[in-house]
Amino acid sequence: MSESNAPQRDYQICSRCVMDTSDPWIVFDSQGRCNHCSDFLNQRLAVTAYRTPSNDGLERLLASIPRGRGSHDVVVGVSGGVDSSSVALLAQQAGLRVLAVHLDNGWDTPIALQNVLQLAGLSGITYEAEVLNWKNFKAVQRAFIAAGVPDIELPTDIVIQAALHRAAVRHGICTILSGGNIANEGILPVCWMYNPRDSRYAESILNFAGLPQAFFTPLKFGFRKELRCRLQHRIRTLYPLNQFLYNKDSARQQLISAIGWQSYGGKHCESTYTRFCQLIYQPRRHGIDYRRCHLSADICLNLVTRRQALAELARPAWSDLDVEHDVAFVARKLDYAPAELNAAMANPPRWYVDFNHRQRLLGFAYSSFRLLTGRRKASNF
Amino acid sequence: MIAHHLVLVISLSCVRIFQSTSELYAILWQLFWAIRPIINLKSPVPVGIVDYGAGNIASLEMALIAAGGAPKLAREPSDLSSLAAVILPGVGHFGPASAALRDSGLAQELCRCAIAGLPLLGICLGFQLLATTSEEAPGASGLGLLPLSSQRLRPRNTILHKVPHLGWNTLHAVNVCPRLLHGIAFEKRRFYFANSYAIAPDPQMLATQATYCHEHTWLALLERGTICGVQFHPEKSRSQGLQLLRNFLALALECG
Amino acid sequence: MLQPRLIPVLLVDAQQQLVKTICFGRRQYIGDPLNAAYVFSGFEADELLVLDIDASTQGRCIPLTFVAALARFTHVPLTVGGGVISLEQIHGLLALGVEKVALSSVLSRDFSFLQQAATRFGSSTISVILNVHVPEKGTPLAWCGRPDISMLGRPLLELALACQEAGAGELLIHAVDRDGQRQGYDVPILAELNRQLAIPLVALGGCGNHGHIADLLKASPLSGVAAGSLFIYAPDTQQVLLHYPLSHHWLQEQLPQLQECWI
Repeated sequence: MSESNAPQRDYQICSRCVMDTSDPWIVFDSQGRCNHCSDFLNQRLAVTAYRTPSNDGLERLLASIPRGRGSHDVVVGVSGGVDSSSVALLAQQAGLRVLAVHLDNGWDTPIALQNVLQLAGLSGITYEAEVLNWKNFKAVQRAFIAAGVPDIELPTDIVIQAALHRAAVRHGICTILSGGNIANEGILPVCWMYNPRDSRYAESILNFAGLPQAFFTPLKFGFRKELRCRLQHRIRTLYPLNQFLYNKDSARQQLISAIGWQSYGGKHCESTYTRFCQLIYQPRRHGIDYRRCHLSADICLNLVTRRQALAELARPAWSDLDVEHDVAFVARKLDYAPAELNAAMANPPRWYVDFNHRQRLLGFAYSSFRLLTGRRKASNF
Repeated sequence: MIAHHLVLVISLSCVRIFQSTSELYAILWQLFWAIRPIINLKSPVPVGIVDYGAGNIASLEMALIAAGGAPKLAREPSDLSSLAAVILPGVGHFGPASAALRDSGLAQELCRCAIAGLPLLGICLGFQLLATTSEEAPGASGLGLLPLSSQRLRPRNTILHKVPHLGWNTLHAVNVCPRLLHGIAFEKRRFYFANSYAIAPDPQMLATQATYCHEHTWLALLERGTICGVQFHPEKSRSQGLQLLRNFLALALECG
Repeated sequence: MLQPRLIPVLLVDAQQQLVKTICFGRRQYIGDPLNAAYVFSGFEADELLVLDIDASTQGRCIPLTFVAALARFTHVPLTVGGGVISLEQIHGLLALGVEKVALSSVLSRDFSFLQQAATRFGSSTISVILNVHVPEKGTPLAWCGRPDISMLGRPLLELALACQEAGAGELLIHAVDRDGQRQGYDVPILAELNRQLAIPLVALGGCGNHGHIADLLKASPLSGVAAGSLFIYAPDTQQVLLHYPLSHHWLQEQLPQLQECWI
């Protein structure tokens, strides 16, 4: 493997939040504050209720959704996690007819499935599953690991979008409600999770691994498909959790009392692969600690102090895990011997810049779109 | 010891909360046994699994590792040295199993170790092998560590009670709660059984016993000093089975 | 006392894909069997039954590497089957950490194999799958292995008693006609069979909802009920959503009532 094109940095950590040079492209100002928290405070929060508080932002958003046409009013992707479960519940309580779509990518955990079942049982919610062909998907996941990039969860993100839009088109629904929210996800370096809409990037990764494009075609959902969905089918994605002061802890409590939602333990995630990615793979291969993202956002929102965040980060991300068991399980599922997977994780890290991508072109396209429609930037891309 | 300090701290804070001292002592005792395995098992406990050709060893190995043990297979008498405890598993027939134990010399060595105080846990057929005889193989003899014998299950009501006794059954402690069941709530005292032969409980015997019901009452668990036996399969009995193995390893540490 | 076991059934094909069948014919892709097994283990299922449905037609045994993974990553009692024809294979499977091995097709060629296996490994490790077809008139017929029109099946009771005599530890009575139909179990046949046999019986095939289980268990105290569709699909749908605790809790609540029926 040739060396990565990522810049070599001396270690530095932000003086305001806890993002550091594990994002090789991080920029610090003269006071040592990073671009992430500056962006978050100055721009990202602008689309949320944190900057424009209102009592009825959520109601207005839900009221703006066209109702009564076709079989359902909205599509919601449900994973069993807090965010998507909250959105599904909010929509159901607002009287919307919800199509809850669960993507089975072969990594479901029992508790997450229990939570999905609780939601599926609510009146007003119709459940639909999209089951990926595991052999195909396994090959794509292996390709991303072979490539050495941190965003090995990208295939799942791509497929979820594809599944939701496919469901929307199939049922004639024009609104997708997303559990995405700035409060928790507003800080996320591009190099840690690159744009799922950039098909060129994903195709480049598959090429590198020697995988035929046929493996990716059924999964992909790129910029063009997204555009077609928006213009031809008039499908738009809304973010209800940005319309109020969304707090994960109180959301959890609400879910527990409303539907007997179960927590899988803060760090353990609703997908075995996500747990592996964030708590084992990224720390080991790239020195990335994914917790820095939500902790930095929490610092900016005054939910935790920087000292508390640093104390939490001092404890390794994997300290509550049976790492050997998790690695053995992931290895077996992906057809690696455990030693092979450990060896793959010890290979030098690579980043999205080491592969073909259309970041500039897509960036231009999105900026133009925002200019024409007056919308604000709600995500990284 | 950390355990003692922890118990002291908790007890001091408990004094204000609880009305009666007896209630306090009961809860402290439960707490002590619940946390003790966690605190003590810092380094894995070396526990032998007797490998004599009969038994589901793979599951037991994994379960012991999960419970904080370091399992080592014991195929010859010399393998039983430098262990904190030993487990005698067993699935199959009493006759060939007891012959295999004798022929390998393991039977004699196991008896010697057990009498010397090495904690021993017999599982399923292994439990029956700790006893003297079994109806399954009239001429054969077990290790003779327990003055008990196994008999064939012969329920009268064969519609309701089948043989083999297969599935999840509930344990009932005879008088005191066995140490192996500490930390396992009453409603979770269901374990996985797969047996056609059973041992009747002996009320005269000085041992902690727990029973199960399959038309009649049979011995599910026995503790006599450091010699323990369970008729069921803790390695397949979910979280409660794992807790039982932890309790056994804690017993081993205590004796070590 | 012993409680009836609720047993999810995982059917695996030659490509090691998890599938659901209808009347042994049409197959629907369900996903990755290893993850499904891991999920049901997390749900603390009473037992898991995993069958390789292409093994015997392809003249091979359920792959040991696959069973090794199942045993490694699950913590519940496992019964596996599919193309098992020799004592060495049974020994290999048991050594991996499996509780019971299910025999089927081999017994149609060599019925004495059952006694050999039971003697060598103990009855409690040997299950037999009897595939049952109920003609419109006449007694139910059973086969070991795929129901073959060219082979006359034996009367179910006769074959079941022969298996019991030979040392089978458990019988899995698989109603072929009801497979995947979700119309319920064949209660009268199963109740009668349970009356006549002294070994545990597990019913398989046809379960669509809890009512079906209740109907069966009220009529007879079967040792276990196995189901595929019930645990694989979201209730009253054809959409994949693995679940178990709901059914388990339901059964716990029904037990006092059921136990009264049995006494």
